[in-house]
Amino acid sequence: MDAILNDTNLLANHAKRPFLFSKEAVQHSAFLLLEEHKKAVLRICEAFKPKKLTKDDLKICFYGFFGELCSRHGLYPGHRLGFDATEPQITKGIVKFLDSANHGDIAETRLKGFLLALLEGRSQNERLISSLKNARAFSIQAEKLIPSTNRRIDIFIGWNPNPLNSKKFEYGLIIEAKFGHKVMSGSLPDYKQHARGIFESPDNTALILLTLNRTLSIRNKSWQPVQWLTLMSRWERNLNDDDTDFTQFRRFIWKKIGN
Amino acid sequence: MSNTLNIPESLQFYFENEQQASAIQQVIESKSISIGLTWKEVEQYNIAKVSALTTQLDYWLLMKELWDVTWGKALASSVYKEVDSEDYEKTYSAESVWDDCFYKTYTFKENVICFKCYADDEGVYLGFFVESPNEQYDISNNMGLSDQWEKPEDDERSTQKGIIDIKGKTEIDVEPLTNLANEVVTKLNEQV
Repeated sequence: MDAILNDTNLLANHAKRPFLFSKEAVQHSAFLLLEEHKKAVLRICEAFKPKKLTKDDLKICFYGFFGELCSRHGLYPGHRLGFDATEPQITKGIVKFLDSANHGDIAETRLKGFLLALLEGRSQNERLISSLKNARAFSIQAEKLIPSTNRRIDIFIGWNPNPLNSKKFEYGLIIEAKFGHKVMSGSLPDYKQHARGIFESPDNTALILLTLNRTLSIRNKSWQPVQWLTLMSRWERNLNDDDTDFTQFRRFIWKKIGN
Repeated sequence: MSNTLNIPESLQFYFENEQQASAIQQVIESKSISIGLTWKEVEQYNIAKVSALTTQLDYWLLMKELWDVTWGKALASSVYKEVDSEDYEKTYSAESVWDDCFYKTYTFKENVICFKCYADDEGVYLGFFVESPNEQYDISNNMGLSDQWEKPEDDERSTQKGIIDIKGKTEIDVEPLTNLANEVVTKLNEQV
């Protein structure tokens, strides 16, 4: 303390008017300074402490990304299902639950949610997205055969603003859906060619390559890569559906994503 | 050392329902970010990723605390020697403990003794095995223990389900497991 007192008075004596600080005054200021240091150290330590998560924090971030994680959500421990669905079963299942011929009006709501989930986030899809507001006449098909090539499109979806005003579809998309690593690139040009014949304009068409982890393809630039996790997290957020069969079906998709 | 363990809110959320648990697992398992997400979705995903990893770390801390108050207490005055930490390789990491269990391994004479603990939505468990030379597990397999210990399965002994529930709890009293750990260490002292 004497050293601090000497230093303080030495500094004070450089001022035009000399000051002499009492021992008590220096003691008091040193104490205050120490307290400030203590507080600063505590603040720094606090900033480095791992953040304690609250249930509300977790709800906000996980529900924000996956949608409300309640019993009607498709996320479920995959191993409890006991077996995997195959790729064709998944694509056929999607089409079955999205077809209003099977499930009425609720299917159309699901379908629009599905399309939005596929198309969102890309400016080139804006016209397709805005067309959904007035779209009514949807056509959806799994394993659609292209007779000239004997190949099958995994999922085909077309729609018009008004029912049956054209043999062609004004809007639509073709989905090549894969869970494995191998995509048969040879089939993609054939599907693109087929799309030219069934849709009015390529500008109102999307070619979607739906995979677990594939990114942009240089060889097939017109195909938009979409990953299953992106699709399913968005679709779940868009759904408000209590159909337990549909929930159970989506669990098979989530199981394949988890695998 | 108290027998009451606080359950962090991250783990309360994890054990609350299967969908929430699956979402955390999904994010932990994702090795890279899904492409095609909007900026808003990327922000949500990144926060979810850090939160999922924090949950994994909270689980590691809880399991270490559980191990300390059960096996740790029971072994405090034992003559067994713990193996060097390098022998654990990566199995003491948060990822490994999350996927499997928290364990420590000890040696005595020519026996290797593994003491472990873990939790799932059906409860909190202890487990152990004694490996003698030539991969023999007779000591632990034949050990006469109370009914709260399961019969040997895959040459391991585990406590039964439901002794301590964790789902819906903000804290758990692990004294029953502390007693079960003491029971095993007492029996081991007589046999090995």
